Amino acid sequence: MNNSSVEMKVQKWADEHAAKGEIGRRDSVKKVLHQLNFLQEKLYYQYEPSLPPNPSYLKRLADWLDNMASEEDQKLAFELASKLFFVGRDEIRAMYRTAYWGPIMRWLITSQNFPINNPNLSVQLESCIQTTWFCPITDSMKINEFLHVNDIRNEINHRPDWQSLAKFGDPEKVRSYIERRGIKRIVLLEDFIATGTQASKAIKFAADLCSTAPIPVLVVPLVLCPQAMDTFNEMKLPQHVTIEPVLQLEKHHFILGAGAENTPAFNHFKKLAEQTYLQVTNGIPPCNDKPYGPLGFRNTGGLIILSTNTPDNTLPLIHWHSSTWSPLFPRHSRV
Amino acid sequence: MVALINPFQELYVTESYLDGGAEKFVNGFSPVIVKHALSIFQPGNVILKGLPGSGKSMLLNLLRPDTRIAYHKLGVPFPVPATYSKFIGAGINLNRSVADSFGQRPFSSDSEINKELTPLYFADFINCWLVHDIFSTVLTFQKECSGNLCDEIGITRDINLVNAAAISLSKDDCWFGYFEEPVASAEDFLSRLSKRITTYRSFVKRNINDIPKTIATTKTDTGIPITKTVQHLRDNHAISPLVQAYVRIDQYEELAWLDEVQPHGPVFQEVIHRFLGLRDARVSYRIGTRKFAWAQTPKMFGTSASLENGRTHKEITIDEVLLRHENRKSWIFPDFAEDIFMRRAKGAGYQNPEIAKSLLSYAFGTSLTPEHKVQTYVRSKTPPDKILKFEKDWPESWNDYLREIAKSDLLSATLGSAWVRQRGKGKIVHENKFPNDPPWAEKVWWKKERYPLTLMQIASRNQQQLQWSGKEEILALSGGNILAFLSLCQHIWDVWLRFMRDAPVASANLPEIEPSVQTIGIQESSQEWFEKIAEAEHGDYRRQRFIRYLGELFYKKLIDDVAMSNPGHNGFSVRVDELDQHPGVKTFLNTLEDYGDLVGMKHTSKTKGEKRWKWYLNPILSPYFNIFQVHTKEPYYVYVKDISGWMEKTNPTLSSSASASE
Repeated sequence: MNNSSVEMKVQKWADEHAAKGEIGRRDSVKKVLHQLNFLQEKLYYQYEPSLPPNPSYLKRLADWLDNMASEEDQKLAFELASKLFFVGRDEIRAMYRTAYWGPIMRWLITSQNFPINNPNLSVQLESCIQTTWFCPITDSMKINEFLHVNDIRNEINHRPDWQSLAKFGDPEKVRSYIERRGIKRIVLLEDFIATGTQASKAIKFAADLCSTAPIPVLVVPLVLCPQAMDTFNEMKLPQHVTIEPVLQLEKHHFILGAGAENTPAFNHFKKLAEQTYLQVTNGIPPCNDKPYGPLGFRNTGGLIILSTNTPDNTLPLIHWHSSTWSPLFPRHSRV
Repeated sequence: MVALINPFQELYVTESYLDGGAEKFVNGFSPVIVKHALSIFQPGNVILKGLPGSGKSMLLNLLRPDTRIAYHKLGVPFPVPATYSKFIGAGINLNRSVADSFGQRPFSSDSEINKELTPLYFADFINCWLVHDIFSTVLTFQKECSGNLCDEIGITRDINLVNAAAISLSKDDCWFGYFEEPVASAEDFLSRLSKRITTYRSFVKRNINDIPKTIATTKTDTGIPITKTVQHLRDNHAISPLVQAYVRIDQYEELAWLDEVQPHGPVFQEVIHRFLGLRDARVSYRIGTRKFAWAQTPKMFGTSASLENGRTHKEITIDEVLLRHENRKSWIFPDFAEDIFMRRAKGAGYQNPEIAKSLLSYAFGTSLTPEHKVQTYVRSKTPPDKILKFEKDWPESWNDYLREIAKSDLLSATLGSAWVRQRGKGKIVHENKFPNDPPWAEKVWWKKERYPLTLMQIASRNQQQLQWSGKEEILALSGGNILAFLSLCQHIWDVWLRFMRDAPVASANLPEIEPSVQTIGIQESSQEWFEKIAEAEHGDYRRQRFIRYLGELFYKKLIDDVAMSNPGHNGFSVRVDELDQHPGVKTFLNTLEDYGDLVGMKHTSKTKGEKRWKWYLNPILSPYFNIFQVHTKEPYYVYVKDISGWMEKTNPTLSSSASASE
């Protein structure tokens, strides 16, 4: 019975609640177990950094709970596991479609002043697509998949990630390519933007590319965190740059540094993240290097997991691996 | 590596099984119960009462021609004894046939005329449907089977005789001239009857404006064309005079729910009663229903007479057939459950061990004795003081005495801690010397009646839930309800599969499932059963709140009863005459019983001559509330005002409406 330890652990907690007559708490802990079992079968198995032969979710959950010394912390961690927001493969594909048929189409129609009752609208839009350059901001956005899912075909074959382009690219060569290919606009996509630190450089590079005749740029993050929106607002982007996310998360989806803004449950999670931090990092205190601090990069306090990877803005106790810590969703990190 | 599946994933073996393939039905159906419900296969009207999932539909499905044909084609003996198997079955599902939609559209703009017309059209529709179905059944047997089955039942192989029956029936005055144009054959007769049925359905669904005159002027008498059909089939030798016609009426109780959306529901039920009231030996009706959905004296449409159990019909309560009575040997449910378990396990591809007499015992083991259960609740390192709960004024010498007993027998020591708290027995604690054998040791019945409560208190004091496992406990928790049994098995299997998720499995042998795994499955099944009170079809949060209140009340009373004076307070009892004076409360309790939330039974009062009725939670709910399901000693004696109080606390509006009706 390899995977029974979580079951038995939860059963023990359920027993204790029931013995105290706390039927509601007993039912709640069992419901979380059923929910996690269900999600393991339907969703969590997709997590790419842990595909077989790596341990399954339930095995990782058992090890992760065992990181915690006290039973109270284990219960808290178990509850935290049920609050994670996992974006699976199908959800990402759904967001590709929504990005195309929502923000991108709206932007094309409004920027070109197309009347929406024009029977030739689809022909006009198709013509626009031929002169639109779809590129990723970083290499984590699978631009080919986006094009396949939406059946987008045009002659613009090079689709570099603009983070690399901003660092190594020659603006003159890029302008020349735009001219040669007849590109009239740029759409930059990214699967997840948490703080906007990395993305802002790429966006600025695109915004400043053609200073005399600015080329319109649409930035479409599939998932956008509130901190990133603040960053973009601070950048005071020119008018020809538009940011239009598919899914914008709210502040209350995060464990915030200022305890007063959190719910009581989130404050418990925050405390857990803080008190386990040195165990998570095997003794490395919070600093400017990975994994940065108890609430992750730039103190974001994220609870999000993508099927492709876990962002470093998510709590390190979820993703960080060390000799003293087994993560629940190990992050595949650039070294 | 073998991919294992849950043999109990699909709970019901009813219509879906037939739709999904006859073989599945034949292999899944357990014949064990048939011999206890033979009235269904004998002439005379039968009302088959039972809780949802008790097996009513499963039994009535044996009357369906497709079931009979399925057995024949697979070469499996039909489970009904040959003496009773000469019958043709027909039926109407009031819901699927849209009969229950009658009344949604008026037949006349004059409300009084409409009130008179609607039940007449309703009866005519059912007549047509059933006549059509009887003829279809005969033709189906002729077409689908080689002659053997027709001979076995007593149906002619000659289509001309069936045609002749149809032609002579069409000329019968029961149709008031509807078939003026001569009928050519049975197929022609059926197609014209179909047209009439379709016209009704079109009208109800507002596809046509009016009921055509040809129908409006030929409305038939309730039930008469059906008896005439059987007569003409016999007269023309299409069926033998020995062949019985059994007619199923499905979804009868749904008519009562129509009352909420349109006023005809009760009248439609009276029309159905009228069919039974004909008391014609040629046709017998079969109705499956919940216990209280069938009135004590059902009225018949168009007459002041009522149906009467034993005279117009026979009532069989399937729950009583399957529920355990005093004599365990006459309890048929274990065999029934065993047979179904075997069929499901085999159907799912598990290899059953040949050595095991009982597969249920093999898979689930035997239930633990109280002594063994104590060991699962309390590890040897647990200090006995935590379990025994000493009183402050008990001398330390007495406490030591109990501690000493606890070293070898914690169950006995815990019973002892209750014994001295009982009236007149407390003096012993102040004695200088205590006997080697404690005084309660020889009180066999006193102890036996308190084992469940003792275990419950021990578990609670050591922060455990009650453990449930083994064949006997699973059968007891099923309470004679096959759906509950299957649900328990389903959840146990689910947990087992979860535990085995990554384990390599070498073979598909039937597993021996550990008690701890069974406990989790049983608790999960119990929780689902509780949630279903509010969520299933006709679910009701008012019922659920009341049951939660009751479960928690019982739990608290039992846990707080440190003297164990009332080990039977997992049920309550009320005087029958007092209850009769409060129909609102009585109806509410009946509803709870009707849906299987509570189990009601006669109660022999401790006061001589007093008539009482007692209720317990459905046994399958016991694990959810962490209380034992065994019925022992006296239940909690209450007055109607207590029950009203519980209703008030959980459902204020319900309580006030109950009072208003009284």
